Amino acid sequence: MTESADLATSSSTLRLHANWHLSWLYVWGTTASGDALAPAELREAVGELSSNDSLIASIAGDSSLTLWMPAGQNGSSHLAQRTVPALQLGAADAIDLLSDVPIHAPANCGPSVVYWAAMARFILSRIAAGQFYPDIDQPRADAFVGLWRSIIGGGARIDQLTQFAAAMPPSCRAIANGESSEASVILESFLTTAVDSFVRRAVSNDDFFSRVHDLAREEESAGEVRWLSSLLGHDRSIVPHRGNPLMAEQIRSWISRLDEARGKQSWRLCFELTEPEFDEDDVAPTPETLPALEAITEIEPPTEAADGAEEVTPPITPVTSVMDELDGQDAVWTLKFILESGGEEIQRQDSADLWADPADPAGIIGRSVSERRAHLMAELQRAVDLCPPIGRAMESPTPSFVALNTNEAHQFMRQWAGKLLDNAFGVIVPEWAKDRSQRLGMLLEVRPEFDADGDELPPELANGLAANGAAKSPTQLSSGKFGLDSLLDFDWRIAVGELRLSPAEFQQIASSGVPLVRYRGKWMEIDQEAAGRMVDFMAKKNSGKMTLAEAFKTAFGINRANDGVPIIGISGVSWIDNFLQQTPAARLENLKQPTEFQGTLRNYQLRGLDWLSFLNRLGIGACLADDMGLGKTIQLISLLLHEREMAAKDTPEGKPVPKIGPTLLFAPTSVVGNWVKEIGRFAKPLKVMIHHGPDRQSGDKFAEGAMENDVVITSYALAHRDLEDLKRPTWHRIALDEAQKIKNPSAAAAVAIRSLVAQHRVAMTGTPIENHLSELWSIMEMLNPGLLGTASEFRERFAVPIEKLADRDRAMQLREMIRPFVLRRTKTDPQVAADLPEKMEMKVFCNLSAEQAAIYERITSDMLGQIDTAKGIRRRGLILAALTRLKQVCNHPVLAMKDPDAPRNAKKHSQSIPVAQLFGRSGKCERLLEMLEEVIEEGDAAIIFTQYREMGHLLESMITERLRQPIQFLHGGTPALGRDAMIERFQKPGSDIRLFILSLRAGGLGLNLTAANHVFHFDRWWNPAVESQATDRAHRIGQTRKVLVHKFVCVGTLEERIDRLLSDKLALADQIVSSGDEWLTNLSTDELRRYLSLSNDAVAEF
Amino acid sequence: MNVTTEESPVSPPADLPTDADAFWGSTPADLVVLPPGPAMELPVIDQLGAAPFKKPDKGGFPFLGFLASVYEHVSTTAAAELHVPAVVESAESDSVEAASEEILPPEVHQTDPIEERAE
Repeated sequence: MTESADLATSSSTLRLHANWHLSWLYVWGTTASGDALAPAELREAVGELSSNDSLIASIAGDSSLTLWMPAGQNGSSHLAQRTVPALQLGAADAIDLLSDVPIHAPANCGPSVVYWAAMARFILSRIAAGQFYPDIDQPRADAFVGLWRSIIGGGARIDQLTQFAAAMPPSCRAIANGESSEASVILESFLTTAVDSFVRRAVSNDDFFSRVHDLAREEESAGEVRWLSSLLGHDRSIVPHRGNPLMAEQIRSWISRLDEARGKQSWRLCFELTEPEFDEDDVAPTPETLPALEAITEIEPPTEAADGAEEVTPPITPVTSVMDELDGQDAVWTLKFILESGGEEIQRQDSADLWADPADPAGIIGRSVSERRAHLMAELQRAVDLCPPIGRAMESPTPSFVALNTNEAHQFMRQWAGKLLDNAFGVIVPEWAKDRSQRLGMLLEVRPEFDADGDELPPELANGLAANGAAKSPTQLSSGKFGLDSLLDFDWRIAVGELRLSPAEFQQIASSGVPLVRYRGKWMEIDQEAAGRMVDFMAKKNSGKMTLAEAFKTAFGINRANDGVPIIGISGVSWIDNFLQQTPAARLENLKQPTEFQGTLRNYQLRGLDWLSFLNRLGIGACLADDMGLGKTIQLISLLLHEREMAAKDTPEGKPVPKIGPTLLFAPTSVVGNWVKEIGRFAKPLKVMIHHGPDRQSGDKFAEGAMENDVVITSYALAHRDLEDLKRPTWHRIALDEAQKIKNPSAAAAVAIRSLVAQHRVAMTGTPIENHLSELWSIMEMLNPGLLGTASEFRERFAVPIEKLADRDRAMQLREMIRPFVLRRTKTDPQVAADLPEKMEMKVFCNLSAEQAAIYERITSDMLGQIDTAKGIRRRGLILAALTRLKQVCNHPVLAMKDPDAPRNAKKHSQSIPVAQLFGRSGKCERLLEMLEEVIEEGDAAIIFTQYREMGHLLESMITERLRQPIQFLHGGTPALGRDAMIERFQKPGSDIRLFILSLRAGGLGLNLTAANHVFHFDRWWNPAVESQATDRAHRIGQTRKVLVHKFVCVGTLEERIDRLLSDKLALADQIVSSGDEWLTNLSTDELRRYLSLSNDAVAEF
Repeated sequence: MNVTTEESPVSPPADLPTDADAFWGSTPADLVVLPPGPAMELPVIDQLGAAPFKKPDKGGFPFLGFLASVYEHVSTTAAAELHVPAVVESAESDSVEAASEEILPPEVHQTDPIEERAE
C-alpha cells in the first residue's frame, strides 16, 4: 500500500537529511513537494555541499534506507515506514563531507545534516588534540584485530556529549530495524567507527607508514609490528601468529594505564554516613537547662589547678541520662549511596534520585540511566564483601541506603571505610569523625619549674651571653630553665578537643560500653580497648618531671613511652605555651624595628622577628619557612641588628658593649651576591665577609677575619671542603639560606654543617618542608639535634606511615610536632595579605660564573681597544654591538658565543647544545631555576620575560630538564592561533602550564596573563615603562592574588650600574629611559670603562 | 518520484514524535563545537608510558617513535580538515623563525634600536 508521504518540512525548499546506520552514513533528500530526491539529484545536491569533487564520484553506488516517518493528514498523524533513495558513505568519507558543512549551514541542510556535521567537527577536534588510542580486540578465539578508539574525557567533554545526545533530532533515531533508537547508542557507534576509519584513511596513502605492512608479513615479525600493521591498513585483522594471545595481554595491560588516568573521570560509588537525627530538646544542655540536669548526674567539684587558679571543669552533660534518653546504641545512622563523577566538574547523584528518574533524556554516553543503575548495582555487590551491612540494602530492587546501628556506624568509620577507600569507593563521614583533634586521648600538660614570662628571662640569657660576656655553648644555654633541655613538671590529662576530663568523668563515659557517645551535643568516639589502657596508664604515670625535648618525644610517640595509649598532643603554660602556640607576641613585648634597619618591616615581618628572637633566647633552633618574596632575608638581617642593639642597651654605661659573635651563613652560590647587596642596603652597620672563590682565606687568617665581622657568607659547597677552617671561629649562629640544600642528611655538606658548633641555629626555606620528610628531618636535626629521633626512628614513626601508607593522622601529628619550630606564612594568609601591596617589586642580584666573567672582560677590552681609533657611526656601532653581547653574556655565555653569521637560526643554535651542558654556567639561570622550583612548590604560576628569543629557548630547555615542568614559550614567531591557544591554556583554571616564557617584544603588551602571580624580568630593558607594561600582563584587572615582580641584575656588571642610575633617579636616568643604550655611545672611553668594567664581587663559583 | 510506504508489523520507537515539525527537529544552533585548542589532556603517549615491547636499543622495532609519527600525522590531518593548527607537536618549520609582527607601539619600540638584533 502506498500513500503520499509527509516528507516536507514547513520550509518549501529542497532538504538534505542524514542518518547513521550500521557503520554507514546515509544521506538522502526531499524536494519542495515532499518527494524523495532521486539518486541523480541527490548526488548533485550533495556534490554542491562538498569541496572535494572526487568524494561524490568515489561513492560506489546508490542505496536506500527505510525509516519511520510521520504520515497522515488533517491532524491525525502516525508513523509509517518509508524507503528512500540514499547515498551511502563510509565513516571517513562521511567525516570529509560533514566537515565541509559550515557551522551556519546552507538552507538545504536539514537539522540532521547540521547535527552530524557538528558531531564530525567534535570528532575531528578530539583527533586533532591527539585524544585517541590504539587497541586490540578478539572477535573470535583465534582472531585478533587492531582498532583505534577515541578518548572521551570527563567533565566538560562528557557534558558536551550529553548535550549532543540530548540535541539529536528525532529523525536521526528513526531507522526501521535499526540496532537501537537510543541517541547515545547511535552516537557512540558513529564515534567509534568514525575515529577508527579516519585514522586508517589518514595514514593509508603514506609510504612511510605502509612499510610496516611488509615488515608484518615477515615470518618472524615482532608482535607490535603485526599490531601496527592491523591498525594502519584497511584490513583490521592481525596476521595470525602463535605469539598473538600473549601480545594481546601485554597490549591490554599497557592500555589499561589510560583507564587509570581516566579513572578519576568516571563515575564512582560513594557511601555517605549521616548521624542520627535528634530533636532540638536532646541537644547539649544550655546553661539554662544545666541545673535541672545536675539533679540526675554526678558532677565533679572544681579542681585546683597547679598554678593556684581555679580550674573550670566543664559541666558534664549527663552522659548516662543523655544516652538513656537517646538510646545511643539503638540510634539509627544512615549510609547513603551516591554516584559521583570525576573530572573537572564533579557531579553527584543520589541513588534515590537515580531510581526515581526513569527517562533522563540527557543520558550520558556510556553512562545512561540504565547503565548508571547497572553500575550502581554492580558496585554495591562489590562493596558487600567489604562492608557486610550493605547486603541488607540489596534486598531492595532499588537500593539507595542502609540503616546502621551505632556499633555498625563506628565499625564503618574505623574499619569498613578504609577498605572501601582502598577499593576505589568514595567515603563521606561526618567532619568530627575525621578531625583527629576531636578524638579522645591523652594530653601531656607541662609546666616550667621556673614559671617566667619572656620578660623575666635573665638578661644574660636574653642575649645569649654568660654574665661575663663570654659566649655560652648551646648546652650551657639550654640546660637550665629554658629551652629543650629545661626540666618541666608534667601531668597526663584526658581530653577531647578543648574538653578536659577528670579520671572519674572519663570512667563514667567509658563504662557505657558504647563506641560512639553523644556528649554535650557532639558525638565522641570511645575506643574501649584504648580507654582501658588509658585508665591503667593514668594509674601508673599520672605526673612527674621530664625535659621539654622528652615531652615532645613522648607526646608524639617517638620514644615509645605511651604503652599503646592514644596521645593527642602536648600543652603547656607560661613560656612553653607561647612556644607551643607559636604566639610569642601575645605574651612578650612586641619588638620594635631595629633603629639601624634601613627600611620598614611589615607587621608580619616584625612578628617573624619576635618569633626568631624568642626562640633564639630559648636556645631553640628555628626554621623560617615563609613563601618566597615575603622577606626571610630581611627578617634574619633585622634579628642580627636587634641582638646587637639589645647588647648595647643592656650594657651598663661606661662598660664596653660585649661583641656578638659572627653568624656563619650558608647560601647557594647563586644568592651570595644577593645577600651582600641586601645587607648593604638594609643594615649598613653589619660587617660582611665573603668566604668564597679561589682567593678565600684559610687558617688563622680566616678565623681572625671571621671574628672581626658580623656575618660570614659562604656556600654549601665549601661546608665540607673547608670544614677545618669553618670550625675555627666561635660562631654565634649558623644560618642556612635555601636550607633544602641539605635535604640529603648523609650528604657531606649536611654532615659537615651539623658538626659545627654555634649557640643559635636558623634555617630559611621557601618550600613547605613538611611535605619532604627526609628534608624535614635533615633540617630539624641541624636545628635541634635529636628532637625527631634518629633517622631510623623518624623513618619508622613518620616517613613510612606517611609516605608509604598515606597515614593522614600521622602526617597531622608530625605537623603539630614541628609547628613550634617552623614559622611558615604564605602570601595568601589573611594577616600577611593585609600587609602586602598588590604588587611587590624586588631585585634579584646574581653573580657571573667564571666563564661569563672571562667572556665579559674579553668583549669589554676588545671594544675599548677598538673605539679609541674609531669615530662617528663606526664607534657607535662598535659600542652598541658590544653592549648587546655584554647583556647576552650576563644571561648565559652560550648567547654571546653564537655564530654571528646565523642570527636567525636562534632555536637551532641553542638546540645544538646538549641541555646538560647549559647548567652551572650562568648565575642568573641557576637562580631562576631555584626560584621557579619554589614557585611550583608553592602552587603558583610565573611569566618570564626576556628580550632574546634564543635565551627563551635556552630557558625552555633548562626548565624542562631540571624542573620536569611543561612550559610554553611565546615569541615573535609564534603564529596568532598558537598564541591564543597558549594564553587560553595558561589562563585555564588548574592548567598544567604554570611557567610561561615570553619574549618581551611579543608578549609585553596586550596579553592577559592573570593566572601568573610571579613576573620575572630575566634581562632588563632599562625603560621602566616597558617593564611595567610587561608586568601588567599579570598585574591587572582579574588578578586576585598579590603579584611578585623579580628583576634580575648581575652584580658588578653594567646591569648593576645602570640599575643603580635608574634607582637613584640620577640625571642620566632620563637619558637612559629616553634613548635606550644610545646614551652610552656618547660617553668617553674612560667613562665607558667605568660603566662596563667588571668589579671584584661579580664572580662566583658554580 | 514518490517514496514507498509500507505497513509493518513492527512498532516504531515509542518516543519518536508523530508530529512532523517535532520529528524533523530544529537546527541545533547551539551545537558549536570547540576547536581543538590547546591540549588540556596529557598526550596519550605520555599517559601510556613505556611500551611493553623490546626497546630499539636492544634490537627491537622503534614502536613508540613510529606511533608518535602516526599521532602527529593523523592529528595534523584532522586539524587541516578543521582548518586549525594541530595540537600534537610537529617539527617547527623555519618559517616560524620569521621576524615577528610588530606589537609594541612605535614610541616604546623606538627606545631600543638594538631590539631588532636582540629579538
